[in-house]
Amino acid sequence: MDAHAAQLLGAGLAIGFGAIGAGIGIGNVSGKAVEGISRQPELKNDLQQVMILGIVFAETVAIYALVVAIILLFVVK
Amino acid sequence: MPGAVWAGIFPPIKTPPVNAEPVLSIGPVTITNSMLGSLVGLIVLGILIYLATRKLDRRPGKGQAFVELVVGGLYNFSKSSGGAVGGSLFPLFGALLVWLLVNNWIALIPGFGQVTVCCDKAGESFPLFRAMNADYNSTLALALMVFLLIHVFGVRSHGLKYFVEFVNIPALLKGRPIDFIVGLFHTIGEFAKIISLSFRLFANIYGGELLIAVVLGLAGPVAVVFYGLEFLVVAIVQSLIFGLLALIYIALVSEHAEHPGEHGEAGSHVATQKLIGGDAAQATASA
Repeated sequence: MDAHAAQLLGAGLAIGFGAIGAGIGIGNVSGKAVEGISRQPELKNDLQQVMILGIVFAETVAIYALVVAIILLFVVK
Repeated sequence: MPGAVWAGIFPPIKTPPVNAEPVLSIGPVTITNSMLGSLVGLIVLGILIYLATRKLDRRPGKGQAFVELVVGGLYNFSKSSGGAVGGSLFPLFGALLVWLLVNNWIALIPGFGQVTVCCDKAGESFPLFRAMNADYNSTLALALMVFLLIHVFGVRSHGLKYFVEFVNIPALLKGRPIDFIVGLFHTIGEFAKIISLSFRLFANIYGGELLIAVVLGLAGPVAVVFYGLEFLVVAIVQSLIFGLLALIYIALVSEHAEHPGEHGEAGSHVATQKLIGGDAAQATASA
């Protein structure tokens, strides 16, 4: 396999595997937040804030994978 | 194939490069198009501020009422998420949020990237203005500033003993090397903060630019969806998260918590008494 093909394959795998973990993490956080809101509807705003924070942290890891994919595609010759 | 249909109507779009293209050099200083984009953001922000504070009145009109609503809402948010120092850190949080929000939004205005200038390394013309946060240098600069602020506030709250958390020499002298290694992990975590803060913002904004360029080249009008997503969700959430994380990191470092090992016992007694209630604590004390 020549270098260009390996580059493209690596980029695809990087973001693909990265997105799996992020999807699971975000789904978990949102599910727990929905459970919490359904238990105590008066805490909706607090739980929403904590949920947004949790989602951003989970999303960050997928963004690390995206940066690796971008570097593989556009920066490596 | 959709690409073949659109290729006649919409010509292929050149994807924006990862590095910002330099526009001109004044001596040793190179000015890139991202810097010019941030200059435009500065001018727009200045105009907005001037318009918002022109005729301040005790009985606000509609415009002033809206601005008061926004500023008051941000202040309450900052106080509720920042703990004890939330109120005093509101200028930092508000400034980061508004500055990043204005810069992220003006990059999406149609026509912002249309003013092109000759010529980059490949000899083609490139846009004169570009989103400030699409260049990693700018987000890294902001993240380094926040990093410095965190440690300055830490030293302000705890004195020079603040550095014991990272370079735990006293634990090493007392013969507990594991605490020293935990301190090393804390140090590595601090650098992870810089990287995560800068990369989150950069990758969201640059990735948005890239996505819109690629979708425009593939199937033109569908890019409107991504424009909308980028404008309404990504720009707002990412600037909010940057400001909020800066606020939370500084608030975490500024709280006057007891250091474990010094007042740990007294702290936990007070905490458990509050949690369980007086009777249970008295029962365990007498048992």
